[in-house]
Amino acid sequence: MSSIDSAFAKARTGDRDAFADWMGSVELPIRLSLRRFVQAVDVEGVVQETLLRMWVLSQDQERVLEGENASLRFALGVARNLARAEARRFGRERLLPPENLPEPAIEPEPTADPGLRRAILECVQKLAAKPLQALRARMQLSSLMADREIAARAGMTLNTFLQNIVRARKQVANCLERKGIALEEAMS
Amino acid sequence: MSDRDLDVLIEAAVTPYRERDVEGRVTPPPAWWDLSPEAREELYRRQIVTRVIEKAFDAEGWSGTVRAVMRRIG
Repeated sequence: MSSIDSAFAKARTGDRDAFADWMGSVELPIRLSLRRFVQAVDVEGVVQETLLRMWVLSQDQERVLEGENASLRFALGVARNLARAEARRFGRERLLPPENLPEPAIEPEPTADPGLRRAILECVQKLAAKPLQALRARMQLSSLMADREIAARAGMTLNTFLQNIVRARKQVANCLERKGIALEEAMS
Repeated sequence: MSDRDLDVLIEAAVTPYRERDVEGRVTPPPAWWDLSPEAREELYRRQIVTRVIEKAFDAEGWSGTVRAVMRRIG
């Protein structure tokens, strides 16, 4: 049994932490599978909705998923259908890829790379004060509240807050490049 | 729009925070509607990189997306 199947099987018992582990393994593959829908839909929203539906499915004991990485394969199908439905809801069908286009090959996410994590943290620590403050605040609060609210808590206007995040992102990317890591290429 | 303004507009849509409509459906952030198709390509790239940075930063190794979903399922 793959680690993805194992985490999903554990999640089916109602174990939320196991479901979080499962999400950690499939989030990137799901996101990469939506590459063709980027112009038509809000990919982040589709990814979140897909994961939520997979949680609901995981708690339905009558549903059985069979085969290696069945939960990932099922989630990719859910994501694709949601993306098409969202595009239709927003009247953006013209931006959809053709239905008969072959599906891209999607591999499960590799296990966590401690070297990459260490490099990212080192680069974040080197940020100037304001970009670091903005980035930290967003990392800690962005799943809970909108940027406007996070900015207010950080004592910044929304525009200044976002400019600081942009600055932080560029500085981290430059720092990683100096370490020989092109984050975007590594993930695509 | 200047490159700087476009940068900020794209950044405003990178967040994993999503409002829901009255039917409970996820709605895109306001900035998303103002992005051109090309800018949405850049948004997609930034979201991928951001989620990796979030995972590195998070004590439990969760991205903002995972954390947002965990908050929903309680």
